[in-house]
Amino acid sequence: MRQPAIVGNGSLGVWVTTLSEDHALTALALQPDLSLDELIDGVFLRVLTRRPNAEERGIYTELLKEGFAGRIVPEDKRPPRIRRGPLKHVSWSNHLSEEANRIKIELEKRAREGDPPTVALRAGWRERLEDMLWSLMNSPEFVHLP
Amino acid sequence: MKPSADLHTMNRRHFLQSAGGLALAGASGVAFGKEPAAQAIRFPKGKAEHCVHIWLGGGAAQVDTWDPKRLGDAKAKKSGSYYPAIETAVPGVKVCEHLKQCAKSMEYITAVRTVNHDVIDEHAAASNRMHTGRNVSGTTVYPSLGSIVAAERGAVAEGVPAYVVIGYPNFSRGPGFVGSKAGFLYLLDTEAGPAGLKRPDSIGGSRQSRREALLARMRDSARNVRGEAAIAGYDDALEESLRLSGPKFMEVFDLKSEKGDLRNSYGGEFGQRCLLARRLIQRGVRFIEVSHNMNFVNGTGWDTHNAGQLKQHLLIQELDKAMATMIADLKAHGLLDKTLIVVNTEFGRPSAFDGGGGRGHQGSAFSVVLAGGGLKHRGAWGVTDDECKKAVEDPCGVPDLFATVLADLGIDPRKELFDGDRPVPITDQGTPLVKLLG
Repeated sequence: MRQPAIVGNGSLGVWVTTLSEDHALTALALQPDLSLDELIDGVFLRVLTRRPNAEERGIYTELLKEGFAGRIVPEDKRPPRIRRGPLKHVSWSNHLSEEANRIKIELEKRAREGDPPTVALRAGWRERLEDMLWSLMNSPEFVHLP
Repeated sequence: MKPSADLHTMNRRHFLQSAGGLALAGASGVAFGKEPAAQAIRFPKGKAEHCVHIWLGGGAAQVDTWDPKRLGDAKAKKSGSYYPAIETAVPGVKVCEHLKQCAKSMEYITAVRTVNHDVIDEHAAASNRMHTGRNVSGTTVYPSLGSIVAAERGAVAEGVPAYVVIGYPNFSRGPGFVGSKAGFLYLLDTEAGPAGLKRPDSIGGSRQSRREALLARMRDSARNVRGEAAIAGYDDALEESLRLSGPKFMEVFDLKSEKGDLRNSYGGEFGQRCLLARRLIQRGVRFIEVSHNMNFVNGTGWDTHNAGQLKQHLLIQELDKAMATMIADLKAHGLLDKTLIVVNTEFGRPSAFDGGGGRGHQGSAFSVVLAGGGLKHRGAWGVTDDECKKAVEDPCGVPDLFATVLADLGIDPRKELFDGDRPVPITDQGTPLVKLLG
């Protein structure tokens, strides 16, 4: 019903605005020779298919410049990645059992949580980049499907 | 005769007759599609301002709930009710023993025992029938009852949605051709809050403020970059979503502010949903669907094939507790006469048992329950035969049931809606149960 609400707060919005290990913007942010301008250009191009104007560049430079140089956690200092164990399979033949029901609810819970954030970027800086991504995705300029 | 009130079913001869009638009407100068004034159908309007539509997914067995018959025996394959019946507050009307709280409030309830349709083999198709009043069509996507009411009456108060679903957001509950403005806000359970409005748990207050500050600047920027007109629709929707996700509306979902005793009398998660429905009504929501037992926690839910029968009484007790409490609670708030409660399901079940001691599907007669809404209640409407299989008195077709709900909500059940240029009657020529409307 309300696309802005779903993009802003829904599961899909959470998945897309969490910089997980295999998120495209994680890969971009991890490029060692990247400048802050290139990063901001890259995020704008991916979300709004255009480059920022001067004012917008100013907003996000202000947001991201602190901690930009030290954003990458050295490989030997990264905590282990979080992995969740597999669950038994549920299909048509056993879906009416109570255990099948519990498994499906657990799967739903995992799906809603989405992938955990990357351990390769410092959390405080990563969150600011995520907030930039959120604000671009929620801009009224984003594709609207009424 | 077919125990259906679908007496207007179009056959070829009937069509030719009607077409001939229309031609004559045209000749005598009567506008196409309008009843001649002398024959205009007028139904009394009811008193309801709100509707709580309780959904029993799976197909509730009427013979084990609201339309009890002689006791059967699942092991001996003797057809009949699985539980003994008890007397209710309405003399002569009995219900199953697990509906004991509702039995005491039966003067506010009418179990319509003669609802019938012909979709029994497939749950989704039958759920669609009982949500839209229509079969699935290749050309028209029919609106759900909730969306019809939302489109016709809107929300009662400013700043709240007209239609809320506490359950799964499927197509049959949607607005179809009446358009997305008559769509619903939904939540899967009372803890999680509405999808899209509750902030993700991982985003604290300071991050949310930072996000909204950035977004405010991007909204200004979008106006400059794309122009006011290009973004207006989305910007309005964005404004509304920010408003609804703010504390003023979200406060309605905080059930902890209700008294502990009241919360306990409503019961478990389903009861809490009913309590939330009352809170939404108080804030001006027009139509709320509340799903019961969404995840089929007893294995089969109301779809009591085979061993599903064994725990059916738990579902009935849960429904009984929550519904009786909601009736009393609405009454205490002076809202019962203004709130029509409909307990709906996709079809019923036969009084004969299946090979595993449970029950199959049956659409030829089943019960949909109405409560409150200022109706002239009588405990039960219509009579079915000893096997609960056919209506023998006062059949109620699905269009008639929908017409009753609409008339009680002050909506003309013969109104025509428009799917683009195509007129679509709001119900499939349903006639309300006028005696209930008073």
